[in-house]
Amino acid sequence: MPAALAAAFLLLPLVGLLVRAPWRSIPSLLTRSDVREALVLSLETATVATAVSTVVGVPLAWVLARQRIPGLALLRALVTLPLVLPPVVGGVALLTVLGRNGIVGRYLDDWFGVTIPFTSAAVVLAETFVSMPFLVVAVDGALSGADLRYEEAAATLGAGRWMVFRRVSVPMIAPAVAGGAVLCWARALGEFGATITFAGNFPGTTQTMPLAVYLALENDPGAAIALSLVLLAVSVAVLVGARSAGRWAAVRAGSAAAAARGR
Amino acid sequence: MTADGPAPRPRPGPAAPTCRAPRPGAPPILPAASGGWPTGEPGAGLDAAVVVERAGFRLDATLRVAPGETVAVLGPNGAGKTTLLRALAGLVALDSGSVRLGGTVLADAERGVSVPPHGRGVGFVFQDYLLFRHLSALDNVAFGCRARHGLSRRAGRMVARPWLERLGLAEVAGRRPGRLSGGQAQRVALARALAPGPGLLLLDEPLAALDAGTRVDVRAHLRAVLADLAVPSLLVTHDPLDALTLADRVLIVEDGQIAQEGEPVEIARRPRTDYVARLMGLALYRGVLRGDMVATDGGGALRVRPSGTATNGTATNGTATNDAAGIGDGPAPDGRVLVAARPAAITLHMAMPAAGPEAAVVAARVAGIEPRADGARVALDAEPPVWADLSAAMMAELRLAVGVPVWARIGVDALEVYPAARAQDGPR
Repeated sequence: MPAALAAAFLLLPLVGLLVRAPWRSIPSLLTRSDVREALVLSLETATVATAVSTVVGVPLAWVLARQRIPGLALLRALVTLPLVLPPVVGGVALLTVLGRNGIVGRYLDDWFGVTIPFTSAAVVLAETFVSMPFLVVAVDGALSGADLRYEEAAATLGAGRWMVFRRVSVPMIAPAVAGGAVLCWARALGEFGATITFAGNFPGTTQTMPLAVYLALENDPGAAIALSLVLLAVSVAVLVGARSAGRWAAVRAGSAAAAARGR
Repeated sequence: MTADGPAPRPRPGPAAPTCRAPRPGAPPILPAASGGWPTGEPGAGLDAAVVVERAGFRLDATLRVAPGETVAVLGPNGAGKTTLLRALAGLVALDSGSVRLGGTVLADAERGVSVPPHGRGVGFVFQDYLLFRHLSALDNVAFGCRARHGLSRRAGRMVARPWLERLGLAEVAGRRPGRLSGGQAQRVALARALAPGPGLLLLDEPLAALDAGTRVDVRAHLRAVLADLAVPSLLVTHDPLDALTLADRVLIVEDGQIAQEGEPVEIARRPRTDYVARLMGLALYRGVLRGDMVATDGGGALRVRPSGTATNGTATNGTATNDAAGIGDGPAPDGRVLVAARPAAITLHMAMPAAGPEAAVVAARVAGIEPRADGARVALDAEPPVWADLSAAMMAELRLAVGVPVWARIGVDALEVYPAARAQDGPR
């Protein structure tokens, strides 16, 4: 019974969205330039944020999982803090560091004439801040659970450290990286609090879909619902695509369990 | 997917090609790898003194393995067998000692030398295969050739394919490890270790993860491969059958020490520790030989030679001399000896049997009965305590139960007597 209640609670809002959607106006909505801008900006920033998270997050996960440095447990806890931090707090925190008068931002402004807040770059940073921990946690888990002896086996076959990393370690954690990247991307796409705090709400440069939805809700609820549906469709499409890709990879790679069972 | 070639060819000649220079007689598939390989010269044996210390554990083993020789390392769990192999492969650092292969120093703790694992040219086969899951069987086998010798993907596969064919795996070359059976996976792992042409082959319990039927098959492949191999190989196992059938020589490792070393026939007939004796299904006694009797340490005595034949330490024609074992070092002289008893050659009787000159008869009481496939092993309280292996028919005839008094007839032909040459063979 509680299970049914929970399921209903999770599913009914989605049903509501579908029921109340102004289906006829969606096509015209999608051709509106401000909506298109917001959608494209969201997709672009979420993708860049995911790329940044992957490039720096995988090495961070590797350090967390494989290195033996004092204080690493504390670092792991701090790195994953954005998972539980309210995003608005994250945005304020980013402002204190990278804002025009921030600890670092002041010098960026003075020396290089670079200001980050209220630009598209700020959107990317806000999304990265909030979503990178998802990727780090996924990859850290995979690396910690991975059997180091595969790397030893590669070494006995004549592979040096770099070749072991490239041809054994990376392929072994690839599914986890992919899964983490999908989570990361979905989180970045939906990011609201940190973005509006740190990057503001300027159509064309920082107004992402979630901000557009929120704004539309004030003067055009129908449009807000339609925009929400678009966001929902994009998310579901990515999730389904990633799952089937993951299943395909799993079938190709076979499972360790099947090998160990020996049939 | 890498499609397979036509039907598997008949097994190639004695030496399947490797990425190193193929053995004489075999057509060269690839030029010999460009230099730097420390191993594999003819006459290059392994010469190692391995000391590895851990909290509460110390492995200290000295061994030599000749080219082409297979040495089995047999011992209980936790004895240090795997650590020994890992130290030879460079996966564990030596705390002391050295590893030389064919005159090349792979490690020397005193001089601070340690060639990293990827530079040692040592093949390692793991108990649980550790095949790379993202690569096909063929690419797993090609991995070492590519990593070690810098071959292209195509060239690596060209070297790998004959190895798969040789091990009867041509049909599964394109499969990922997840779609291989355990026996196939271990054969792929064996091919993977051999393809780059290792200077030393290390096998860590290669059959332990396989079920009984598969084990027979993989063991046969392993035997064929080892027979052709021109480099030293070490086979870690806890299965005495593997050690006795696959190896030229057996090392027994217990508590990080080499407890016994010898040819399989000697290990099987003349165990020097209780562990080996149990493994070989023998009862082991320590005692003092005087004439034709051994006074065993725990009390009691065993007749080890027909009465009146002993001439105080010189050879006799007695049935219990050791020539029968093919070991050929004559009967033990008087003094401290070990006696190995074959439980199958000991008979039990309800009425006191005639001893005759070639046996001893002792009064005993049944202490335990352990059923076996074809009968039972009966433990007897006696001086000294004995085991007897009885057939099912015999068990039915005697109707034994725990506590029943019986007579045990121990013929001299059930016993193997040999000098307790080393200090550790004394009383414990």
